Amino acid sequence: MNNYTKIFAIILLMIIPIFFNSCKSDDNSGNNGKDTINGNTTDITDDNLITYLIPSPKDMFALIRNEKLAFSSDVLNPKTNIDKYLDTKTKEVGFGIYSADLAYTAAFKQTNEATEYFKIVRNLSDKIGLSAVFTESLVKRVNHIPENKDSLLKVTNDTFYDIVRFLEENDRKSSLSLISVGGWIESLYIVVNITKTYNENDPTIQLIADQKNVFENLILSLEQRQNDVNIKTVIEELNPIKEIYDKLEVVKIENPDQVKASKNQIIVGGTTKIVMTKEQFLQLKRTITDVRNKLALNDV
Amino acid sequence: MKLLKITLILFITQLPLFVSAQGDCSDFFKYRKPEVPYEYNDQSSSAMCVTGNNYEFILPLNKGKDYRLKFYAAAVFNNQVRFKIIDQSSHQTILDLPGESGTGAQGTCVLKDYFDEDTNKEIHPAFDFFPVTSTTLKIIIEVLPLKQEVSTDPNVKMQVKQDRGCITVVVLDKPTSNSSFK
Repeated sequence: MNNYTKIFAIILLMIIPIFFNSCKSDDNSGNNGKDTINGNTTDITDDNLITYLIPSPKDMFALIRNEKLAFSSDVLNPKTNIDKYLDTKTKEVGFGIYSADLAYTAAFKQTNEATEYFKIVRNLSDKIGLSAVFTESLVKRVNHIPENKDSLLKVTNDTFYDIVRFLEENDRKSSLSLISVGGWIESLYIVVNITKTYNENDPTIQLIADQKNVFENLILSLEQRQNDVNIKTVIEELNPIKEIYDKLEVVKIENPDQVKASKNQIIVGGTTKIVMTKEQFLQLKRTITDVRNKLALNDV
Repeated sequence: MKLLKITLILFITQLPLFVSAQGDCSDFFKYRKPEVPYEYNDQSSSAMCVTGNNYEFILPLNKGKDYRLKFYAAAVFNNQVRFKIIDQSSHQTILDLPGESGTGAQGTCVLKDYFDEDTNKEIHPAFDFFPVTSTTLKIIIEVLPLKQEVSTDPNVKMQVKQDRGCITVVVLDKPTSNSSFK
């Protein structure tokens, strides 16, 4: 065997393990135990078989837009708080919080505030490796909103879509989780604080109660990644909210209304309802405010 | 020379398998887009799946919106996927369909396009939901196992044959069209 042949053989032998390792690193696949995938071994757990889906902040604001709730800039996270976010956890949770503020200002067509919050979100994105999302064309779209037909809401929605896409493509699941926590807590904080009175038939009160389902999903998705110390800490910080939502009663609807759905629609729900009393609402309002202020490092 | 031959054989036979087993869900983002009058919902998600396994997506739905769900699976699965949706509030199975059906008619399968006579074009199946109260859907996706080749030779070590690919759940929504629920 000449030298060239030896070198070629060595290179080939070195390349093959690379393919073995590149498959092994994909943590999204599998079943219980260990499986052979085309001769390759992959670790599989229950966690990557279940995906808990979390709505983005725009969902909640879309639902309250028609409820005659007044916009209030008092509930926004102060812009100066950005300087307090120094570690990964506070930066990523803070990014979620400011993203929710941006979605709220956009949903209520507060162009000036929204532009300011867009700048903060962009600034923070640089610090958590998301600057690639904020392309020149996106920044131009925001700067030209007043004279263009491009809606503020569409730009913010597109931005959030690009952020999720970037994080998914770069397998940054923990970052996505922390951003989701920030986004969800800020959305709920805003809604409970702009809802001034309790009325059990108020759709906004019901929306806040219904967040029990979303919160359960959020916690379960966080628990899948609790070996990350930041996620573990956040789960503990959310515990006071969990205690309240766990106590909300799910009651059976005795005589459900006969509902006629549109063509081809499948009717779901309607058999049970989550009930929140006035005391529980007030307790939730205080607790959400407390937890949000801690996560946002807000001095109160 | 013998070492080179063995190495070459190993490389040539194994490489295509490893390449086909890789890949991510980036290509599936093209399906995650709005569809008038529905807006894109950020709960849309993709997962890398393996034949022979069940996957679950837990999806909360809000009262006040109409939802549309669409599913896409990697070609490697050849539509050999079964979809089941359970309404968690009533524990009722509200959808139980294969990826592809014999007739290919609308409402009989989840993955295979059907011909729509109204629009005169091929349409990807979509499923519309109207939540009367907020609820949670459990979407169970069963990626059917591949047929295994069994060797009669006791000296041949059996390898479980599996394929891997992406499955995407696209969630769309719009304000509810039912006036009493606005």
